Amino acid sequence: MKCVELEKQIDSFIDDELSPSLRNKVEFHLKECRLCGETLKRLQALRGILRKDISVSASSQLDGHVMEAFSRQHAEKGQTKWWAVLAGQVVIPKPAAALALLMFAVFTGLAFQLGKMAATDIRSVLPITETVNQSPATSEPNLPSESVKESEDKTVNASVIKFIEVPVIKEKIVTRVVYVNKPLKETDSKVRSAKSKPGSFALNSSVNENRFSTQVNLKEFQPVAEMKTQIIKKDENYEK
Amino acid sequence: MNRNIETKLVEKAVEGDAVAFGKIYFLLRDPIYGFALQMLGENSAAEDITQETFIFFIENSQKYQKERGSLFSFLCGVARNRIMHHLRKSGNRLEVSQEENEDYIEPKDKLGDNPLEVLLEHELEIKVREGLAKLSPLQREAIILREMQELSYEEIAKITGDDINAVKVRLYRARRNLARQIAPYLKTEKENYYEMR
Repeated sequence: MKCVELEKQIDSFIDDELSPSLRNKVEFHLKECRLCGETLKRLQALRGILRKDISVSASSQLDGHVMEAFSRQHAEKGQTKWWAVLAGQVVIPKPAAALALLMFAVFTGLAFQLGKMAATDIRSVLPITETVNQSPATSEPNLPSESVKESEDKTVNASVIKFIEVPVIKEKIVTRVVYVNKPLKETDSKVRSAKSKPGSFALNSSVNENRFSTQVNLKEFQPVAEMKTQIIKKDENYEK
Repeated sequence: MNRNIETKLVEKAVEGDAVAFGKIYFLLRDPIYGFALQMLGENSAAEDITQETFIFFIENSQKYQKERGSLFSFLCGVARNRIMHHLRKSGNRLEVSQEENEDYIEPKDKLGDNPLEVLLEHELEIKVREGLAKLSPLQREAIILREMQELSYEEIAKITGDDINAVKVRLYRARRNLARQIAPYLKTEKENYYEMR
C-alpha cells in the first residue's frame, strides 16, 4: 500500500470501519512509514479533543415541559379520535380492517336490495291517479269518473302482496278545425269592387259576410301550441 | 443503552408508562441536547429543539421502528431535521458568542486545580467550537455524529439520508479542515520536542 492509498483509508481505519484484510495492510504500512504514522497520531489527537467530556445538560424547565407533554398525550390516548385513525396514528390490524371492509360491503349490498324491494311495494300500494281528458273524436273509450274512483278504491284496499295493473289512459287532445267555404258569386265580386274605393279597403270582410266559420265542436279553448292534429274538411262544391 | 432494554422501555413508554419514558428521556436528553448545541451554538435554540424532538417522539412513537436502528439514531434524525430547518432560517450561521463560550464549560469543576492546564483546555475548547463553526453544516454534522455521538457510518447515513460514501467524504474533509483550524494543538510529542530544542 502506498501513502496516497493510505491517506484515503486512514479515516476508516481510525473509525474501525475497514475490512480485516484492508486493516492488516494499513497496519503494515503504518509500521513502515513514519509520515503516515504522524498523520494517524494527529487525527487521533483531534479525536481526543473532540471526544473530551464536555458535560452539557439541558435546564430542568425542559424536563417539566416534556414530561407534561407525555402525561397530556397519554391522558388523551384513552379516547381514540377518528382523525387519529385517519392520519394513521392509530394502527388498525390488517385482518380487522379487511373484516370491517367486507362487512361494510355486505351491509351496503343488503341495504340496496331492501331499498329496491321497498320501492316496488310502495308503487304497488299507491294508486296511480291520472286525469282522463279525452275528446269525443278519439277511438279509445272514455272511462267515467265513477269507474276510476272504484279502481282507486280497489288498489288502496288491495294487499301489499297482490300486484294490480292500473290502466293508464294518456291525455289526448284533438282539435278540429273545419272550414266551410262557399263559392263566390259573380255579383259579390262586382259588389266588392263597386264598394271598394281607391285608397280604402275592408279587413276580413269575408268573415263578417259568413264566408268562413272556424272551430266547430270544440268544448274548451285550446292554445295554439297544444293543437296537435288538424282536420280540414272541405266542401265538395268548392272542388267543383 | 442495551438494545433489548431500550426496546422494552420504548414498549412500556408507548403504553403510557411514565417511569419507562422518564428513563429514556434522562438517558437521551443530554446527547440530543449536546448534538443540537454543537450544531447551533445557541443554548435556547438547542433546548427548543430537544423539547420538540421528545414531544415528536411522544406524539408519533409508532414511527420509531426498532429494526431500522436505535432510538438515539431515530431521535437524532428528528433533531437533525429541526436543526437544518433552523440553520436555513438563520442563513446557515452558527452562533458563537463570547458570552456563550464562557457559559459553555465550567473549567474549574472539571480540570483540577492547575491554572495553566485549565486555561489551555478552555482555550482549546473555544478553538474547537470556532473551528466547528467554520465547517459547513453537513461536515459539522458528520464530525459531531461520528466523534462526539460516536455513531457508525451506517447510522450517520441513516440519520442524514445519504449513502455511506457521502458520509465518508464529508468526514474526511471535516477532519482535515478542523485539523487545519487547531493545528498548533495537534502537534505530536515528537514535534513539540523538536520545537523546544
